[in-house]
Amino acid sequence: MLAIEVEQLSKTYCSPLGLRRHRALKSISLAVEPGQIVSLLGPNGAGKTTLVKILLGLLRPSVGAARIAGELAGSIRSRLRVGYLPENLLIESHHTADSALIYWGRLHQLSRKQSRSRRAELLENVGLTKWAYVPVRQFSKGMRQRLGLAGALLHDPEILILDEPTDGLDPAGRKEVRDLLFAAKNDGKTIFLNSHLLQEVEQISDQIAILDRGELKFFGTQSALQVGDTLKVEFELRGAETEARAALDLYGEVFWQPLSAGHYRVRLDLANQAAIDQCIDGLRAGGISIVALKYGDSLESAFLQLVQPPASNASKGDG
Amino acid sequence: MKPYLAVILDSFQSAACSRILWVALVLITLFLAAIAPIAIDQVQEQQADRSPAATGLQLRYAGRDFGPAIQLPSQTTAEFRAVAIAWFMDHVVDLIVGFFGIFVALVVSCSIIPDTYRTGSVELLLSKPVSRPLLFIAKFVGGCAFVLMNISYLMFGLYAIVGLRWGLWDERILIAIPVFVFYFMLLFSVSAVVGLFSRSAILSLFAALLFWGSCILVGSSKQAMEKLLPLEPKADNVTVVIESSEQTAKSMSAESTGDEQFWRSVYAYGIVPLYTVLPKPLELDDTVQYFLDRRRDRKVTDPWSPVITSGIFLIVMLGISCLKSSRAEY
Repeated sequence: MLAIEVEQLSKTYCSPLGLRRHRALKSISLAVEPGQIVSLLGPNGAGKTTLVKILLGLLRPSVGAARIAGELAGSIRSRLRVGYLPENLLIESHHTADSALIYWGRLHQLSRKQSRSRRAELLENVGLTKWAYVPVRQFSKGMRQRLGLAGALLHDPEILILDEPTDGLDPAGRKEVRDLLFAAKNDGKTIFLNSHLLQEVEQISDQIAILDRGELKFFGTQSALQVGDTLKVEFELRGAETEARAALDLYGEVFWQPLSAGHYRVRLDLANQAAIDQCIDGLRAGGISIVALKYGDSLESAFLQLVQPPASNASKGDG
Repeated sequence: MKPYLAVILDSFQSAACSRILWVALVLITLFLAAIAPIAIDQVQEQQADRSPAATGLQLRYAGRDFGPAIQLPSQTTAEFRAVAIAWFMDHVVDLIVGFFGIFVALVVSCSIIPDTYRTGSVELLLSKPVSRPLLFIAKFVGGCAFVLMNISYLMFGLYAIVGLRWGLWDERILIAIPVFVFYFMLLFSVSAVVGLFSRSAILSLFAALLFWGSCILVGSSKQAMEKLLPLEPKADNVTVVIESSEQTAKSMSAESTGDEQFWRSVYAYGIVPLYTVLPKPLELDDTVQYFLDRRRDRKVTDPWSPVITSGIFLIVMLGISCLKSSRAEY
């Protein structure tokens, strides 16, 4: 059974009088296998939040359907199987981390005992053990995000839907969250992530979905994310620049990025593996050391090529 | 039911964390402490001419006499004392609880529904396996439970003071608890509907106060007009009049001036329909007392009317809220 299944999903927002219409999603279809980390990328107004909200039942699709673990998205059965962390989580100020977890646990029909037994481990994992009995009004945004993540994991859901989970976290906090997500994945959970941090997405995702103006531009693995017919290759080189330039002169347009004296990064398009081998031979013959070699597009360049520049009069700013 | 009990408890805790609540509790305690020393004691005074002792009423505060005792015949003294206590209950308690108490309760509870449906909060709540209409009802009940606790504190305090200090164990005080909670529910339902649509605590409080004022205005206008406008001749009387003499009937209609006709139209087509449709929070107390056989003298013509219209109004308001909450997109 698929963890998340979206079929021909469209969503149109209408103004109260029905005079203005905005198509936020246009016939989106995707299928997520269990145990995967899937990241949803897209510029502002691409329809990411709309898709996430439909998966949670907060919005109704205009056309098509979405299913969570075989259940219709938004049904109580589907919500029992999902842990969700909203982007701007608001926790009522009378709660402490401890009381918020117990409250959320009870909403998921967990007993106080069950919530308490999970609580210690989760607060430890998100680094909030010392803050368990401190009112959340004293929490920073990052601490609230961590608490929200603990809340999403509280009832041991099969699927986690996380909206910007590392937003507001310092680098150490981001690392902790990444480790948590990997641990959740190893437990067999499916993670559907909405994030704008490409570097982070690159590090943790098994699959990537790129949305632009309501259309699904790409859905697949990072290695499959290649634009055009040529192979994108990135070298990190050490040695005389003149020699390196001479060796790469045959291959047309080359992007040069100096890193330090005699140390630079180059990017170029090559026709096939034979051309890459020939290029490496040429560099070695010129006495250039190849420090690193990377295949494929960087996520950022692929993303920017797939996504059109934003329209000047974008009508709806949902993320 | 576990998730909904958790929601009720949470909205109760949310209200309990409000500073206004603690201010209200302190004020209630101060009010009780202030009235506790008041005593209206029946005293016997020896007359100078050695005639039988006369009875009187002595107003005391914290054991100290306030002025001379009021001399009254013994039978009148007991009646006067009962009237004084009844006046105190009707005016002081109704004013304190019926106005100040309900106002504070509305201020404290007006943010419960808008806070629940705020962006960032509602998404998390609705991603949990809970029914949307029941979530709303649970929040509503949580707010009412909180008000029930506060009104109970005030009323049990009054009941104990009136019983212990004045020797009058009057169950009317305790019956006021459900009456005022129902009264509050009517106003809170308006606040909740507006809070659900607007997600603004200020707007929901303003709407509830406006509605409250409108109910009082309509009720008072109806009473005032019924007193000021001459009564319409009853149908059977008119028949008799018409049968007896057409001229008499013509003279009757001529008696009504243009202004009177206008106000009679306002009464018939404006005030009466509004009064019929709107809940009647002020009349609820009369109804309860009527059924307790205490105030038969108050001429309650239709004792069920305030209960029925207020109940229907509450059901309609909660129905609109449940429909809105279940169909809304967040």
